[in-house]
This record gives sequence, C-alpha cells and structure tokens, in this order.
Amino acid sequence: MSNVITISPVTRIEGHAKITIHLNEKGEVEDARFHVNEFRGFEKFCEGRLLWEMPGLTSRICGICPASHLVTSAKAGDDILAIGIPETAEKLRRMLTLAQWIQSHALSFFHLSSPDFLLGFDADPALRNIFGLIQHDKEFARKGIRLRKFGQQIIEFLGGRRIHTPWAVAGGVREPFTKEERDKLLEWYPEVKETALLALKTIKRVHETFTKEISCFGNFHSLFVGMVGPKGELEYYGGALRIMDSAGNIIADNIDPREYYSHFGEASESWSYLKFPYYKPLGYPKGIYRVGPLARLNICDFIETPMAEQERKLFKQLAPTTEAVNNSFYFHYARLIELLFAVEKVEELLRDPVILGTHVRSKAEINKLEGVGATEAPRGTLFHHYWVNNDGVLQKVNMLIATAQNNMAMNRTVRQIAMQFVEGKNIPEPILNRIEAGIRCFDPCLSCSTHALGQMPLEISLFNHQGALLDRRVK
Amino acid sequence: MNTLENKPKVLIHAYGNPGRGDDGLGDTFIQMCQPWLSHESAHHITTESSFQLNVEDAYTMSEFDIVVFVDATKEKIENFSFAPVKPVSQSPFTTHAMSPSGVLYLCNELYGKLPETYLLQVKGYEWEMLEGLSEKAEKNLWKAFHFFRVQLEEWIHSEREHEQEHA
Repeated sequence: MSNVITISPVTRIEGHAKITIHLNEKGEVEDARFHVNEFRGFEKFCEGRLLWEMPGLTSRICGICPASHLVTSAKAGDDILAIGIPETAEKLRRMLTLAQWIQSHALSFFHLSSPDFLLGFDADPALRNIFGLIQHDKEFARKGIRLRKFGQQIIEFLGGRRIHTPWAVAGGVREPFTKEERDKLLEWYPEVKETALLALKTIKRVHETFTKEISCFGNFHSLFVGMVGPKGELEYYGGALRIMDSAGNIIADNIDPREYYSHFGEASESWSYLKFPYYKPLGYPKGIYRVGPLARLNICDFIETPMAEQERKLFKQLAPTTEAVNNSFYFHYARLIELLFAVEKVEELLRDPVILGTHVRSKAEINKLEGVGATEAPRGTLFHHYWVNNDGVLQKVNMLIATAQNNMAMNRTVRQIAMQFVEGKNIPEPILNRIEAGIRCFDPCLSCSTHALGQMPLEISLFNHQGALLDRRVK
Repeated sequence: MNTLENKPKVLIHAYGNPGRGDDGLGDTFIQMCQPWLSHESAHHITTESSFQLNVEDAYTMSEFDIVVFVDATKEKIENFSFAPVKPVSQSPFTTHAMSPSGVLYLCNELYGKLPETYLLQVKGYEWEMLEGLSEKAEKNLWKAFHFFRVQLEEWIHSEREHEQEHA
C-alpha cells in the first residue's frame, strides 16, 4: 500500500480529469497518475448512421476542435468513396485546419498557460488565471483574444457560425469561398502576424525564467509521431506518418496513415477510461510516444514558411547534437512556432486565386467498405476509421484522438513533476499547480472522451501508503 | 433615418452540446426563437449558438446593449430561471466552464462595456449521448420560451414605439 495524492479535476485543460499521487512508507512519491473519469462512447453512438452524416456528427465530439473532426471525417469519407477532391476544396479544407490550429493554439498560450508564465507558478491562485492575467497585462489578453477571433472568423466564414455545420463532406466541401470573405480575412494582417511574434518573444522570456520547472516538466525519452509532407515538410492535412526516436533517428517513414492500426495498438488501464495507444513493435508500455506540436517540430525536416522555419531552426538548437527535443515543456514553444506557421500559411492561401474556385465537390457512390481519414489536429494526429455496408451505413467506427496518444506521456510527466516537487503529506498549492501545468504542456482536450456539459472541475488527491486519503483539493 | 441605429442591439446566445441530450436545450431554444424573430423583422436581435462560452465571447458581447445567455442546467430549480448576471472575476477557469458572469467581467475589463446581461437556465435531466430532448426538459423549454417571449416582445414593442417617435 502507498500514500496517494489526488488532483481532480485539472484546471485550464479542456475536459475533466483527476490526478492521484501515491506516497510510499517513507512519504516519498512512489507513483502519480492522470485519470480520465468519464467514458465518451462516441464510436458506438455513430454506428448505424449514414456516412454522409458523419462529418457533422463527429464535429459534435468536441467544442474545442470541431473543425479537426469535421475535416478528418470528410477525409475518411473520401477514402470510402475512393475519389480525389477538387483542388479548391483541398485548399479550403487546409485553411480550415490551420484556422483550428490558430484558435486552439492561441487559447492554449494566451489564456490557459500565460497566467502561470506571466504571474509565476507561485502567484496567488486566485489571480493565476485569465482574470489575474488581465490585471497584469490587459493588452496582452486582448491581443490573444483577437488572434483567437481571427481563427474563429475563418471557421465562421468557411463552416458557418452555427454549431455542427457539416461544411466539409465526403468528396470536398459544400460551399465555395467568396472574394468578400477573403478580403475581410486579409484585413487582419499584419496584426495577427505581429501577435504570433509577440507570443514567441514571450515564451523565450519564459524559458529564461523557469529553468527549474523546465528541467522536469516531462523531460524523458519517447518516440515522436506525426505526419510530414512529401519533402519532409511540416504537414497538417495530409502526408505520410513518420516515427522518430528520442535520439533523433527516424525509425519508420512514409507510412500510409490508412495503415495506422498496423503500427499502433491501444492498451487500457482499469483506472482510466482514456485509451493508452502505443507503438506496436516496442509493445506496451515501452512503445510510448508523443504527438502534437513537439512531435511535429521534431520529425519534420523544414517548415515551408520563412518566419516559422527560422524559428524551427532555433527550436532544434534546444536539443544537444542531433537528438530530438525531449522536454515536454517545449510543447509551448513548438505550439507557438506552429501558430506563426499557420498565420503565414493562411495568408499564402488567401492570396492564392484557386481558393475562390467554384468547383468544390466530387461525387461518387460507396466504392469501398472501409476508409480512414487522418489530419494533424492542434493536439496531434487524429484518425477516423469507418467500416460501412453497401448503403453507406456505419457498421463500426474507431477514432484515435491526439490526447489519448499522449496519455502515457502525460502520466509520465505527472510522475516526474510529483517526484521533483512533492514532499510530505501537505501539498502547497503552487506544487499542485506545477503538476497541472505539466499536463497543460500537452494542452489535452478531454472532450473527445469525456462529458462536455460545461462543468469541468479538477480534483487532486494524496493517499498514504495504506490508501488513506491525506489531502484532497477541488477547483 | 436608419431606425436600426436607434434600437438596442440584443444578443441571445445559447450554449451547450445538442449531441448530449438535454444539453441541447439552449440550441433548441434558439431554433424556436429564430422564425419568430424573422417574422417580426427584429433585425436588431441576433442569435448565436455554441458549444460553450469562451474568452472571445467577451469581445462579441461588447458590441451589444443587451445579452441573454441560454443554458441547460442540472441545478435544483423547478422549470427554468431568468436572472440578471453580474460581472464576477473569481469564476473558476477552464474554457469549458467559462461562466456568463466571467465573460461579462472580461467584457467590462477588456473593452470597457457592461451590457445588460441575463441568464436563462432551463432544467434538463438527460445528459448522455443522444439527440433530442427528454420529455420533461421539453416541457420546461416551452415554459421558458413562453416566459421569454413576453420579455422579448417587450423589447420589440418598445423599439416600435421608438421607431414611431422617429418616423
């Protein structure tokens, strides 16, 4: 038996979770776990529905990244129809995917993580939130909101403001983009680029300030998984899977995302409803891997936009020699490089006349009974795998979400931070916050697997070696 | 004269996930309001539906004079409740749990605007993954709608008087 501390739910992440910290007889941290308490069951919910309904249906999974589910689902539909989509449609889907990155990454940095960074991990918890942030720097908070609003504006123009609009469909998209909308979005420049650069400038200051935290915020070896483009460039919509180890060696490359299930298995643990995906050749739990911004920046050879590429080169210098950047704290930095890339790339797409084309949808009947769609969602690679009958009725659905793929890494991060900072039976609030902040590096979104009613409390519990509750905090 | 400029701008913003049973009460409420608002040509009244409130809603609401949030609730109320919202900074913060009072606080702090704000809560019972409302929730919704319609008509009526004054 060991002592246990529980942190539940984790604040400023998207969803509901708890953390338990287990102490041994000496009162030292023996283990720490990141739990997800509620089961989504969305895959079962989809069975029996028509393929054409799926983009709209799956975008209900999450209020945080509905566009990612929308596009990924549409891609699974393309696969089942076995058709190519018009060039305009692909570019518009790409823009939607980048818009999702912009609004999600902006929220993660400016409003979820910045309170820790700008006010400090030891600041008064009553102030260490968005409200405290605006007292500290209103203009900073306003700029973050404007940047997020820009991402939302793109999503609104493309997909409609109403929730569940199935704008992306199997075969393309429903509606073309207009010149008026394009011109309105271009008016956001150069403001949005300046804000993305401000964020990067800020995170570099953070790197100098929190050296102790950075050293143990999920600093461990693992694999990194994501998609890259045909030339090895940072990819977000298509491409092939690449797997890199912590030493920087590419151990698998050019994997068709449709073959993901041959490479990744899904384990489960009795104490969490979130899946524990792993790389099959190494088995569970040795096949631990990370997805998302840190992984994407590690595995890609270059970024195709100039300012983001310049930052990527600086990012690579964080690792000694040719190693991958292994420290999860640098998820934040990688996320902001991606934010800059997304802002640059959206501008490039907006200036591309192809996006104003009117042929946006190809049509076909069911040509295959199985299909997979994959995109790089803000938090990592997202897979939708559908099996249909000849009428297009879903027989089975499997979704591999980014947050689940980081599940093992988040658990290891929690354990590492707890071991570094937790001493004795009373846990000061700033220590609990560091543990939460470790999870926030991954910017997890638990909506995909948890109840999204609107009340997302956090609970942290500490148990002794006999299993008795020593401390419990709820936020 | 553009009479629209003299009318109070009203935002009715529902939030919740219609894929979660009664959590879709707010979205259904908006769908009930829209045809009626359209029939009344109430162009100064805007409706919006989203999964949850978020920071940028502070920016949006700063452009309105009156804001009504509509949400499903598990709280112990009989059918529905309608109450003014005050700005509060101490709300626990996750983006899923951004409260109307928290958004209003942000609106005031960041944009110097404090629109007249209300929260209409409708009691729900079923929160599992299913589409459509439970029978009991739907009854509550109709009660809330009839109540709110009177309030909304008042806003529309007063603006018509306003229009006539300027005609």
